[in-house]
Amino acid sequence: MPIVNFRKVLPWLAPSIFLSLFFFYPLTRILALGLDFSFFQKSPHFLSQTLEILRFTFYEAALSTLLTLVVGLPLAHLFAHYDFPGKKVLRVLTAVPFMLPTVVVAAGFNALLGPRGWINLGWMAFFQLDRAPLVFIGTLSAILIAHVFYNSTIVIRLVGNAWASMDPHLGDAALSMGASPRQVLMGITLPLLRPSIFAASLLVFLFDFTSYGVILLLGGPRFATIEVEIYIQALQMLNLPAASLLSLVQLICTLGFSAIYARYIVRVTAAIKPRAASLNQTRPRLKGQKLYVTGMIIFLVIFFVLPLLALPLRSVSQLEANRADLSQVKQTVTFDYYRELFVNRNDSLFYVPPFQAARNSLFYASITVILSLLLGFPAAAALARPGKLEKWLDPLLMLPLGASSVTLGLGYILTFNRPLFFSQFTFLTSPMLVPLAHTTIALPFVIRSLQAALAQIPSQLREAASVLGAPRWKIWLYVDWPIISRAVISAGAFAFTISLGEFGAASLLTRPDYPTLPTAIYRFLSQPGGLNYGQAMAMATILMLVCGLGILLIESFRLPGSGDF
Amino acid sequence: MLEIINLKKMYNGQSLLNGISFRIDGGETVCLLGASGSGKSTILRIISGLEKADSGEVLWQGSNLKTIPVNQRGFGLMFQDYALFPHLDVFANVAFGLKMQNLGNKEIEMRVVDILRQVNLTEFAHRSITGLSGGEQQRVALARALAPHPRLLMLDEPLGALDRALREGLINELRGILHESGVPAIYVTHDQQEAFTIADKIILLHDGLVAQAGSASEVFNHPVNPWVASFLGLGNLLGGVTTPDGVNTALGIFPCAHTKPAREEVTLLLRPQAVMADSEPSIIGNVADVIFRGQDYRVELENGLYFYLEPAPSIGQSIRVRPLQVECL
Repeated sequence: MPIVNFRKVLPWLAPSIFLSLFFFYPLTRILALGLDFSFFQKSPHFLSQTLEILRFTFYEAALSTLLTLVVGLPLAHLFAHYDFPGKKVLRVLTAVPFMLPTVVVAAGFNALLGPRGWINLGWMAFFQLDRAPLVFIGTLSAILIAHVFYNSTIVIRLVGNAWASMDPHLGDAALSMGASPRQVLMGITLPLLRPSIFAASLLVFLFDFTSYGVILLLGGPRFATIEVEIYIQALQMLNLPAASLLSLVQLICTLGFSAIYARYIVRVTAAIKPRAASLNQTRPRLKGQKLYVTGMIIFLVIFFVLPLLALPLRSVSQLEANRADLSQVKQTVTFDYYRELFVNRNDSLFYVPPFQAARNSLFYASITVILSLLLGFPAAAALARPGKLEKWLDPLLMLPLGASSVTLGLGYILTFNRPLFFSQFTFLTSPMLVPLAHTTIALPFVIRSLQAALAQIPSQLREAASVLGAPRWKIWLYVDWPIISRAVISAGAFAFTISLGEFGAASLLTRPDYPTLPTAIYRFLSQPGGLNYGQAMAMATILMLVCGLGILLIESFRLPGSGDF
Repeated sequence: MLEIINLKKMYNGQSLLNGISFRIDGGETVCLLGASGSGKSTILRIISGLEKADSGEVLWQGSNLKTIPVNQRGFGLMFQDYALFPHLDVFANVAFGLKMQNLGNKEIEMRVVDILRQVNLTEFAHRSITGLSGGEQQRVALARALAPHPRLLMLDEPLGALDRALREGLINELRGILHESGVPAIYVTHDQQEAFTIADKIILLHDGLVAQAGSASEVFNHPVNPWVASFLGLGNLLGGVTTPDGVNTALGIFPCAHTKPAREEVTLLLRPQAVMADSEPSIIGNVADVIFRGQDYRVELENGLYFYLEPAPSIGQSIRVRPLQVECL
């Protein structure tokens, strides 16, 4: 008898070949190159430079995490304890930034606070200034604010859920035994929330630590995290060994943090007793409560809505003079920026009309959806009823989660820039590299959500169907499929949204004549001129709307309770 | 010691308490008995200071507690779900109230050990809360509530989360511990058996008012209105009109002592203790069901009444029953 049953291996064949080829092999290339320290001799400053970058990465991540807690904890309290009109909408609203592409968020903040944004232009028009008074883009504050905007939802969900499910009698009991409200907070509430606060902080830190798009688009050239430096070393310095070493450092850090997070989140979920959370929630009654709730709601709307609102509005507003006629400033509603997307100008950044970028992105996203569902489904089906093999393979499958997309992009550059199997076929020139990278990134998510859906089908259902005379394929068609079809749609939408907004790998892999929406937006944003800016706004708006649609699909079709980190 | 005067409280637009008044004196255990949703727990929360009444007063030894916050009232409250702190072990849970009194570690240790011995949990001091059984958790909660020597102990359905068999054992243990500690207690329950076992005084709550207050035997033997009789399951209730001979009902005239004027609508309580006899006043009916009770049989008639009889008639048989005890409510 063979050690491993062939039928058990079969579902793993495709996903493992894919991941070996497009994840593990590129990773080994990075490993090989990064551990070859000979380039140190050529660039003696590299070590101190790396340490400085590492220091800044930790610094901005720690600071961002702290600020995210400062903003997120009161919001978690708000959502856990009060019931107010529009609560559901606001809760979803706080989660939207997390799922939006970085370029969209960056464009949103740019539209609000950038030199050509609403606030600066309004200020200039009002006070007759000829220079933007508020410097936001290119500052550390911009990075921090965008990070808080992005990740508050993690604190709100993780800590808020733990808070809402906490037995309200615990605090009452402490009070009745003579504890002051402060003592209740310090002795009961905070210790009980500690695991969830810690887990949320770790996760937020992890995201801030691997932040890429935000730093590149909002921080500008003055700031470099490890992630950004990988890009700079690889594409600008053409120092691939240095980029590889940085990737390794990055990988070790993220894997370390992820491991701690994974250990901790188990405790958090174990501590949360399923209870009617509404039990803890009251409408604000006292004057102070009303004031607090109203204040928080106003803050929520300003902080989470304004950047997302500024973007589409800015994309249809002509607020400043065209380059041609500086004398005349027309302030009108215009669809020029959208019309320009279809025009291939001579001085364009690309060789193709910008609208081509949207078509490319949609094409890539479709391939990503198809590939990740085809590869993910058999793996998820096997994982839903795990045997020995599955328990062993499961962590391997999830490993791509730990690698950043920039690292992945670098790995592809190292691996596929030379003939791999066929001498005349070089992958790097192939536009297919981007969707392959996106599939690698999306695959763990797709597998997880399909697996959850498949695992929740009780085996009695299938047994009942077969006792009733249904053959295997009918069981699948009439029992399994109807139950999991929603999850498939949700997973597909997830892959689609990931691919559409993905910036890290795309920024390393896309060719100038084959841009994706995010890379095109980045290019346009970093160019001078009102027209370029307007087109960036228009493209970011399109991306935001499509991703918003994707998020809506994901949310409305996902399994209840299966989407929380 | 504790005096409750005319408590009123609205809840979600509905009145929950309509003017509750009662008092508790030193060392006695008072039981608030009522159906679920009758506002029993809310009364405890108001007394403890966790909630505010819309109107009415809570007096402790004559002084109004209105302005005194929860944590300075010195009352103990034991929750139905125990509300044990999951991040603290048994010892730390029991010690919590003592720490709040800023007692020294030595004294705390002594008192915790002492109270844990009282509730038979000595070996459990450093166990985690989550590993305890329901009965053990219940005793930890009791120990935690008693440890700070509260001036008044309130217990909110303390046995509600336990299964029947465990409840019967623990109610006697609880009775012993309460008597030993001598602390005045308010015990909230919906289970009359529990109330009769533990209470010196029973306060029956209905429609946001005190329906009746008195010792167990008082409320059992002299229910003041049909609701009390029905809630305690004292017997058959029969509507009727007073006449000079007694009370005229659909099933005949029953003589009974009352002080009501003639032609007034009243309710008769026919306790189930009865004999089969041909003499008046009696009820004729066909036997619908017979259930063995041990010392006698519960006989249900087709007209819906039931009596305890011995020997048992057979099902379908037409019998004449004379109730031994008829009260006019």
